[in-house]
Amino acid sequence: MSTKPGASPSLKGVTLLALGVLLFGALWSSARALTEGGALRGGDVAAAWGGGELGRRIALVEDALPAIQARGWQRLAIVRTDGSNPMIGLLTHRLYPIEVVPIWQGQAAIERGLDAARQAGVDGIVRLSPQGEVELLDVQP
Amino acid sequence: MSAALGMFGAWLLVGFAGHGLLRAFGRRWCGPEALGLSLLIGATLLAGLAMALSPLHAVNGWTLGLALVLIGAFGWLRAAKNVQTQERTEAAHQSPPQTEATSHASAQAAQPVPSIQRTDAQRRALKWLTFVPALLVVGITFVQAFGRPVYNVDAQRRWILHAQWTAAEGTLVPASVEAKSFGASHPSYPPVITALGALGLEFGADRDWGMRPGFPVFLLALLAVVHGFAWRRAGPHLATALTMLLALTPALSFTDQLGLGAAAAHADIALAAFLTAAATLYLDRAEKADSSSPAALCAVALGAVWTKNEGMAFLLVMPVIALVWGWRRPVERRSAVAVLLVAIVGIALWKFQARHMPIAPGEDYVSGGVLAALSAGLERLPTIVRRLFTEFATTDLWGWLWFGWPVAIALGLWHRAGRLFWLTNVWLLAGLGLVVAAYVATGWKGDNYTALMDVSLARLIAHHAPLVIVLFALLFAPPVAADK
Repeated sequence: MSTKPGASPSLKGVTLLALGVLLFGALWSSARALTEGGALRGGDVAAAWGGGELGRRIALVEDALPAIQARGWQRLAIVRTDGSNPMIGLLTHRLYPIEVVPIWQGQAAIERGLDAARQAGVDGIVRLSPQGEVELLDVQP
Repeated sequence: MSAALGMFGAWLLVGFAGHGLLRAFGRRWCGPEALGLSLLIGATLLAGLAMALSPLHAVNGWTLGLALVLIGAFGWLRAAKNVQTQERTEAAHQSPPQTEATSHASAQAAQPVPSIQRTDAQRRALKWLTFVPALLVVGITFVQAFGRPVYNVDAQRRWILHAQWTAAEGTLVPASVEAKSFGASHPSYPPVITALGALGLEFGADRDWGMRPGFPVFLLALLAVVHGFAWRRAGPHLATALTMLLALTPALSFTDQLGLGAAAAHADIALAAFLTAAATLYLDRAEKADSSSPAALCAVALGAVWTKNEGMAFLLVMPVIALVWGWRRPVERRSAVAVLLVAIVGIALWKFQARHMPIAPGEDYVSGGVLAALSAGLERLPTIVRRLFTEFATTDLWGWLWFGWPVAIALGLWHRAGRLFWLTNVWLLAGLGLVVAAYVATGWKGDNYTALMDVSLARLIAHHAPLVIVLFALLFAPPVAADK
């Protein structure tokens, strides 16, 4: 080890001490992330989101994927509701190349979302109710 | 495991091509640092190839794979030729290169004589040995990556979606995603991660379970680059300690929250690796260390530009600061100008290619009107800065890493640290300043910048966090070429 030329031994000692303290903090935080933080927890998408009620709703959407694909839609809209982000991500990711149009209207009423979806010229609408029910609606041209 | 074979196949070719280029650049890196730089330079090359092939709709496994193999082989052949020429020259001068140390010592007689001289093989072995703890951390992040499919919304709707449409349509910018509805998926984001994901998909990687295992490779590259830089200054033992200090920062490695950690299918650790490599190669070059190479510096800088919009912004600011800092030093001036030009050209090329791609409402601050947006959002500044300091103190994510910054500054004052130490501090400050500016200017979801900070602040400061470790390394002696 070499510090800058002319550095005093005490200075080297303080530098090493500082590094030691920081390293201890890093070890402590990593240990917590790997144990309490559940960083090593495995599982499917629902489990990755922590399971529970959200996981149950994600699983429902995942189960609905074959039915959505069977509709033959080229372009569909998802009406956003509270807590639906993971479902929107899942649908976009898994349904590609079907174009998925999220109706990004925050907490707007579902009816407003439907209007926007119709205006977007989609073939169908996936509606996620706050209870996690999945509804598939054909949009008439 | 088999779901990710395609992704690992992509990385293998990327590493081969990158290593070929690295060798062709004419410098002799060895050990983990050579691996890290090879991966990063190869990823830059892959993005460049994908951009070049996109207008032809010819981005696929065959074209990319063949090009990577050919470029890698060219680099290796050229390097072998260089070595033969060098050996003939050395033989003619009757100075056989028994060790790397002696060959450098003859070229740089004015350098201090190192206390320990090792052969190439010993040096390489010791470098790998001292890198083993970091490899163990990377190994754990691979376990994490294998344990879950892609599930984070941003990863699904941005990086993997872009990779999917690139693989399906053979171009980074297909006409089908010019639709306004795709704006929220940010199709105009730069191409490194997209190209890598597309190549993995082309090689058969599963879009759910096969993508995440490709991402810890960027953590490997980041740690390898930091290890090499720390080695030259602080020696083997402290190189291990400094590398582990970074490796054990949960936000960069283990934490699987907010799209953080090495296993998340996001571009943030990748950008951190490119930015850190650019900083360390610049610093090496400024100190005329033997391991510096302008071509490698430009390649990783280009990689940063093509990884995230934040990389584009920082690569415009970083060389300008370096230019001011080293104006009177020709090597620094030339390096800074080269990086700046590469950044400008890289940005222009991608912006031109992605000119038809929509930008999400409220996120056009990266393309224009930035000054107006900044001035309009100045009242947010106190909230943003307070939130930033709270983030620094979030030990669950950062350990005590950010507390190390003021400690490093105090030690730098005590050490009377050199100008490059203070340059790195200014870079770090500028990087964080850009993060603050982004939140000042954003119009995301009706100006809801606090909600945006909740989900993205940690990711943005992760880009610059490794510079804290670089600061500690800079407290130690400048590199001695013979002991690199």
